[in-house]
Amino acid sequence: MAKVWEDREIKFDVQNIHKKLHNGERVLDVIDSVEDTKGNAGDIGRVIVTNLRFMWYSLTNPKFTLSIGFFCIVTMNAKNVISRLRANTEALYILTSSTKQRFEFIFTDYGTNPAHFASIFEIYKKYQTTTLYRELKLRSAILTDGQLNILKHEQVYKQMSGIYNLSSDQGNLGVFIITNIRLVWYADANESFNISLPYMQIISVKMRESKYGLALVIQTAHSAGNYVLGFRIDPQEKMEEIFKEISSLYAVYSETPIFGVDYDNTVKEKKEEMLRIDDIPEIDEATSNEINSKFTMYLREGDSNSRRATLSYCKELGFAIEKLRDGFSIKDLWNVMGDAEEK
Amino acid sequence: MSLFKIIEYFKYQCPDDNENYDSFSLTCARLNAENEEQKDSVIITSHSGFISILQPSISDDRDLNSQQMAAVAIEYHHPNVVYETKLNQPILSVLSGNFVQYSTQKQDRQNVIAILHPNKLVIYSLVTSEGFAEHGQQSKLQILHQHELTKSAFTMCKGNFGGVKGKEFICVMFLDGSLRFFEQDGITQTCILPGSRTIPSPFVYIPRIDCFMILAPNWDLECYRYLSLSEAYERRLTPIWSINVGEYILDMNTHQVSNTESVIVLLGENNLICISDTGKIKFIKKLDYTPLALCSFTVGWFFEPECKLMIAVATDNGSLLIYQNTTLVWCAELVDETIALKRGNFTGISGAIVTLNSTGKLSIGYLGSEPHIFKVPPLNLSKLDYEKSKIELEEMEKEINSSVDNSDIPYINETAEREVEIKSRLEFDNLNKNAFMRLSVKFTPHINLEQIQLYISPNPAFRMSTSTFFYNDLQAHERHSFETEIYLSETEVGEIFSTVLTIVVTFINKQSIARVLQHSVEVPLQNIATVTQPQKDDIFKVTLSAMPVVDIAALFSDITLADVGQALGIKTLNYENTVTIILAKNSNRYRLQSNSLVTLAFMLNIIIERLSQISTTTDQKNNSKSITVKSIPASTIEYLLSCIEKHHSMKNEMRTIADLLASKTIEMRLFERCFLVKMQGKASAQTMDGIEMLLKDTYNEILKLSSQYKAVKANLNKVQTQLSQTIYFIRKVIEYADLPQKITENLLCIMRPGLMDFSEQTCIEALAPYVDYLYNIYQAKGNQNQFYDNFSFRNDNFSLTRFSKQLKHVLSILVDSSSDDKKTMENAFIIEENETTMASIGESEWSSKSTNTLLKINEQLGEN
Repeated sequence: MAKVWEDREIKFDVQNIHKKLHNGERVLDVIDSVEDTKGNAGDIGRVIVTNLRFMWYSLTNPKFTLSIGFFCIVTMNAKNVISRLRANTEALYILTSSTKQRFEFIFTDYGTNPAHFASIFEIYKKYQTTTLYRELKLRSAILTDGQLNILKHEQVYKQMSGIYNLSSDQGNLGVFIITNIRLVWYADANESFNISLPYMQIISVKMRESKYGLALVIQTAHSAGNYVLGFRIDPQEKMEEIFKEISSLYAVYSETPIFGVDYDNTVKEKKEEMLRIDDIPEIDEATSNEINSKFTMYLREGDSNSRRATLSYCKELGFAIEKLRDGFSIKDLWNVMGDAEEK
Repeated sequence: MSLFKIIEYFKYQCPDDNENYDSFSLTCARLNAENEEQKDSVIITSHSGFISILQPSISDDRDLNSQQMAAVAIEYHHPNVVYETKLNQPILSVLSGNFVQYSTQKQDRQNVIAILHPNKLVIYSLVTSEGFAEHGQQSKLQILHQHELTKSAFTMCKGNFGGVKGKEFICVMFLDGSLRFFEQDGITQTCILPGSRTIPSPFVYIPRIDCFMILAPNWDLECYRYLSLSEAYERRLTPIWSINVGEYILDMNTHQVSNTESVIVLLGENNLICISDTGKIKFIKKLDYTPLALCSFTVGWFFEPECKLMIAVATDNGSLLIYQNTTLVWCAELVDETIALKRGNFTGISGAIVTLNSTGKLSIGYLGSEPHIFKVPPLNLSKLDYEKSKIELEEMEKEINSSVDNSDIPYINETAEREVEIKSRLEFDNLNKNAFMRLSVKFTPHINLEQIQLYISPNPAFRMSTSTFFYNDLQAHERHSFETEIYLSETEVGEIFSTVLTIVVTFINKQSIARVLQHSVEVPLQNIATVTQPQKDDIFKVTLSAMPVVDIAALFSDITLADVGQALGIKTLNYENTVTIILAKNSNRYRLQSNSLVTLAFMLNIIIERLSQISTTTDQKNNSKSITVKSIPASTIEYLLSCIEKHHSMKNEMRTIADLLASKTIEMRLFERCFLVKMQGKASAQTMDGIEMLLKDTYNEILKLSSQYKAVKANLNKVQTQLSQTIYFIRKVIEYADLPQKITENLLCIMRPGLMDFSEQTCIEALAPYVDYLYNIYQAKGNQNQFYDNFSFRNDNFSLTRFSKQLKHVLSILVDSSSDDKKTMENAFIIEENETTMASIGESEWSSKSTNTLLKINEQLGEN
């Protein structure tokens, strides 16, 4: 299936990023009048929260957009701030980390909704607690008393026992479950020896010759450890049948993935059919800036990759510490006021 | 807040994401004691019964920098889960230790896991068998022992009670404060501590003196010998020493720091307390923050002289503070709120900080040594090249100009009308109280629209309950409708002068192209006017001649029922202003008279409309004007002039107030600033008095001025309406006056409806140069050369008297005057025959700054 980058990447200034959603991605909330205080101060924009990410785009200049995948978020807090426009409002601090850099974002709400960013927290929390929909799980607590814990929107299509997992010398006999979201296998002898593999993390499903004979081979994605999982199903006709079933379910899932993040904002979403004229924001183009040089503003810190940070154990503190620069000691960093402590 | 951060390199969300965790839920331990290579495992349990055993490891590849390592760890944490399951009972506490007897088999020689359920203590061993790949590894928890508990447990601690070597025992504390010891050979002993034990708390075993430290409910920390506890039935239990710590203890640890001393570290709610095992307080550190979790340890062995006691405390504001004894030696910002804090050794990282938050997120990190002061890296931006930008701008403008083609406009308008279909209806029944009528509009867009706005343009006679309707995101062929109640205006200027309601429709389609449509609705006359007695001697009169003459009864067939003679009175509903219509059949004339100019204009309009309808149907061959307005009394012009004068004086008044208001607000701002400065300087009350007075006075004055301004503005609004209504009437008269085409056009240019005042220039001031021009043409009396020699546009200031005089003169053509005058006037206009007509000038240049534009036009005229 098409790689789902939406929740795993941070993108800056991709025009119309909010107009293209991934299959299965849904807009869960829209928050108007939000300022990207760190990068585009003064620009009022709109926040769109989907089940995979957080997007902001400027209403004054379509060039300025942000897309922050939920997977990249390290922490997210809301703080009460006092703004010049609206005395008491809320600012959203998002700290992110991706493979390359760490970014910090600050958004300020200038809208009239008293709930401010509450929905984002709820959605993000939902995202965090629904990893089973999107990630490979090994040896995790997915069963209760021998029964698979069924996820919301999940339908079990087939459950078969007597399927060998070929990950150890003698192979392990277990139960194989096919649902519309994932493939699950667990050992008969040990429930906690299990695999829960969403279609999203599958690269390919094949039938291949192995030292155990013809086996069903599933290749997992890079983000799921690049594993090659082998299963043996007897007799061969049954294996072919299952292979067909998995292939077609995989194809269906690729078209309509289920990411698991469910958010019901109907209570809030009593959208009036007719807007009041006051609801239309006046666009003041006087302050819009043509050149967006603000990418760097988001950088959380001087993330210079040139300096290799290595870990070391610090005897003075008893904890692991990032190796200090040459010629510095813990004392130099800590006792800024001179060696008063020693005297 | 600290400059330093804790850098997270491993995180894991436990399956239970509710707030089901506390400081007993986390433990770090080496599960295989024999294997020196093996590193710590992290065991997390939750109150809902989940247990997760993780073996975090990070790549040993030293070429990776920390961030890459972090990324690697975060991306692939699956193999780190060794075992995870849900047990059937809540888990209160988890410990790992050497709780079973050694057997000869090597694989059994490992630490086991003790899990405390509310009524059961279970000891498990973790059995792991490897597969080909990481995903082939499987683990199982095997129950080694289980002890049913008769009472509800609270927590447990471990230790080599009685100084036994190589073995560890478990002691469980129950909710009632009693203890039970579990030794390896299945021996269990219970002991009840003296006094009432209502509040159970964490407790520890001190191996050096073979004692337990237990907190009594009166906040006494008591030290009991293990021997006396285990043989409690023999004699009454008494602590060997006790010390009051004064508060509840969140967590407690003990460490041997020298050959002769162990210390007990207690984390209270407000203090960090350290007590020696002999019952002496070593130190109490008052905390100026709220502590959440404690992790203490020693660096070095107790028999070494440089053995140091280290204490790490996690706070509720997200900091980790590290003390060496009482000295704060480091502080770092935690990634997350922390409720349990441990220290662990993992592959590639020793002394890692293991934290757990209240919703089950485990995070392992290390101290960052780069102070994280936010610094923006320098930008490499070249300055804007103005020359280049200018060229670029010109090219773009060229492109825009070439792509816009005005000849398309009629076609575009036609399409727009097809795109949105509008139907409207007026209803007079079933109305709300006081409502006059209801306008219901149905519209159907035939394409998808982004937005549509419908606006019922103002007519002072009618007030709408809602005048603007706005819809977003419309689907094609979807029907929409809305209704608005219309009330008759009761304000001074709300006389009916038009029966038409105009709906302006603005819509934006999906391609972001905006279009504007107009739709008008006519209010039937019979609904807004009734028949009344004719009146005599009204102020405003207008005489109309028509060919053919139609009977009044036929003309107003929709409202008159009784037989009408030569005169008819019609009055409008809301003001009861009567217009008397008199028909003089012999001279083919109608005379309309009324005390209200507005109503007169209204009726005039209606009669003209109706007459022209009749004349076009009956007599189509006759192309000449069949209806002409014969004359209007001079009083009309006077009325217009008085309106202009009022408008002018009010505008002036408003300007004066606005100027005053501006200067006052500047003062106000200054005083406020002074006040603020004084406030911050904490000046004495006396020095504040003066400024306060100034502030108050200025504030009052601003308030007064603003209300004045508001009043004047409202008045001005009224006058403006009156003015435009008068102009509307005069326009109608001009249109149907028996004047040459050219003059009609020129006069219509002056008398334009829809007056707009700009802050810099009023509509009258904008009109002045036109009037001046016309007046001068008139003065030139048809002599072309004389006109061009003498005339120049004035650049001096606007003078009302001059304007009035000129306007009166120009408009006098309409008034019943001597034909002589009319003649000269007509001659005057001949001057500009073959020239650009005033009409076209007026049409195109009305709204711009008139003087300059007219100067330009004059140049053009000269060239021609």
